[in-house]
Amino acid sequence: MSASLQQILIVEDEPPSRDMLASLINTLKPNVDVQLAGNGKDAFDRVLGGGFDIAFLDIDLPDQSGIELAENLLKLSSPPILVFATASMQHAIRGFELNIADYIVKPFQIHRIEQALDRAEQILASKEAHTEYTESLQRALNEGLQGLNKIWAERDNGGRVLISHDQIGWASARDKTVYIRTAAEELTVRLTLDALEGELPDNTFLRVHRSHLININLAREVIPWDSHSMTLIMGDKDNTEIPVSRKYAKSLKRIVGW
Amino acid sequence: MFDQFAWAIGMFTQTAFVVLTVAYVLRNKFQLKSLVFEHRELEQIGRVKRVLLPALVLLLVYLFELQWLWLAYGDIDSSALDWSVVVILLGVLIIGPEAGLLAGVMATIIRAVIMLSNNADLLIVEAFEKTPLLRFDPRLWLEESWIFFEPGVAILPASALLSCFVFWYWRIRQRRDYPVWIGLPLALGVQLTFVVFATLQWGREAAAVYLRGESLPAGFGLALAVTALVIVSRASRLEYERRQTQQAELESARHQLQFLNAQINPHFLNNALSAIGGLMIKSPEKAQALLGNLGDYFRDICEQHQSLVTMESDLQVMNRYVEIEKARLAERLQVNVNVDADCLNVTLPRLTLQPLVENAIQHGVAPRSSGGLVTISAARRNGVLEVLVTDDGNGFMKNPTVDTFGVGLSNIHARLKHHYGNAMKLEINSAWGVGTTVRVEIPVEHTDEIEP
Repeated sequence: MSASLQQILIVEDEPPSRDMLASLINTLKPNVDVQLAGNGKDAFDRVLGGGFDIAFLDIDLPDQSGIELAENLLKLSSPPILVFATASMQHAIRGFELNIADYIVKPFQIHRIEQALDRAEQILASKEAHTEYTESLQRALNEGLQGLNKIWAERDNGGRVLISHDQIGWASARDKTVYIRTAAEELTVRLTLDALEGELPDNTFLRVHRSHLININLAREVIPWDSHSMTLIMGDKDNTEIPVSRKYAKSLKRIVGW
Repeated sequence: MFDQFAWAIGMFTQTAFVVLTVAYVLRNKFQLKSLVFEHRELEQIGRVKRVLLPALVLLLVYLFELQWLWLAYGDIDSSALDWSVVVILLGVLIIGPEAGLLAGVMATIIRAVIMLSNNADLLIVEAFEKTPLLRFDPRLWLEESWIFFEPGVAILPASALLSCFVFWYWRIRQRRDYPVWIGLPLALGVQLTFVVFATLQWGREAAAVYLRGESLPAGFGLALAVTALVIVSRASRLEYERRQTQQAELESARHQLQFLNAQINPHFLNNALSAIGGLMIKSPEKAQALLGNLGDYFRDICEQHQSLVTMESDLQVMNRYVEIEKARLAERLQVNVNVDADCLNVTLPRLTLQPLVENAIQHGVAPRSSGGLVTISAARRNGVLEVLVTDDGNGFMKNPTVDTFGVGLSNIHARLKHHYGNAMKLEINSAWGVGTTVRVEIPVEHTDEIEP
């Protein structure tokens, strides 16, 4: 006997595809409550709220990839069964086993969705099957995500995102929290600045201060105050100034070529 | 007299043939285009390629010819003079002064050695053993310095200098090919040098005998050899240019194909179909409109065969693409088109705008939840059409290059380059956290200027 499905989440940034998937699911399961999320952050918040049996994840989400979102969701207790959706298989296959997770391709076809729902119901029917599914998918995703040169970061609201190294402009420690700056926003990381420095490639990132680590590619100008201290002007739109302390001035001078 | 002419023609054409064949093989081997270096090449080719390799080839040709003459006549002396001149002249004309001067020095030394050994029937090795020049005693060299005024020896550096002058005048100063008749003054100059030195050394009568006997056929053969060089060089240049054109056409066809592949990619098509499927539920009219739009878009990119279109029609294709993307991304995608009216009938390679916008959407809008604005603007100034495609996305820390900023962009770059050469510009300007602008500049051409 299979468990009856109650709640399904669709995570998809494109409204038409979202509507189409919802309508197909409703055709198959008229009694299921189908909810919609437009991005990874929203999706995570809803699943955190609980109660979803299945989540359909688009691979190309705007704020993070569906695979990163999956990795986040699987860390929750009793996560939903995940079904990936994509417009082309080339984008979907990224080093992890797709035969563990189910996937559907756009434009969606009703028989594939039916298969995916049946499979999910089977897994949900037994607690052991569900646990085993979660663990093996988590393992496969972890393998797939390794070596991608990314770090986990958190938004104000607690949503976790993977940020690739080259997106980071600089990192600063304030009030015992380490913040990283990307082109779009400021995020926090659960690492000390020293640990972060160790994780980032040292040919791109340079420590310039006890509380500041910069991406050399974004440094635009160095203003020397005296022979010991300087200020760095970064190449973001606000031309953020970052102080360079005595201790680190030497290594910066070497790079600037003084 | 007839025998002498036959001898001269046979010898010079054979020498010219050997030099030309080796030079041809050498140039093809190193892909040095035509037989004669192009003007631009002269400045770019490295020293090794320009001097050492050709000098080595000249040396081989030289030794080959020595062997051949010795076998044929058993007498190096009388003939070595004339074909050394050919080797030097062709060396300078084909490869350049450095190689030719080297050959000239080599020939002068060998010739002097043979003269000094006083016995032309000897092998070169034996001649070298006998000559006082090789005894490394400067006093001996001074004593024997008359040898360099001997007509047969003097003619060798003279022909090197003469051909260097011709090379300098035509290739460096005038920057063009040798004229076909250049063999005539060269041969005349070489023979004149011989006669002058012969008069000085042997007296007027001996020189007159030489002039009547040997100088005439030798000069004739020499002129023939150089003319042959110039003609073969022209032919090989034409052949090279033909191959270049063919290559360029092939390349352009490849770009076109690669480009169409990129446009008709399954990712885009499936996304569009999925969007249409979704719209069928809530707004069937929008789905119908989009379906028609998608059909038009594919007709545009597959059925248009002109390579140049008006800005107006390229804008239309772009707008169709934008409509499809808007249906997909909904309010996340804002597009602002700002094209001056006087740009609408300017021509440009078809499908220039759409890939620029596609790139901006992919890099600037799609990665952000809040979406973004893509602005397309075009204006004319001073005979130049400027197209700007700007997004307000994340931008890049380091300016992307044409090659790192998407296949679509490098393809446009290649196609514009094919049409306009260096008259086009494609620049990318990116600011981190602000956005990216792609700027394209092409010369203004009108509808009435293109073939139907």
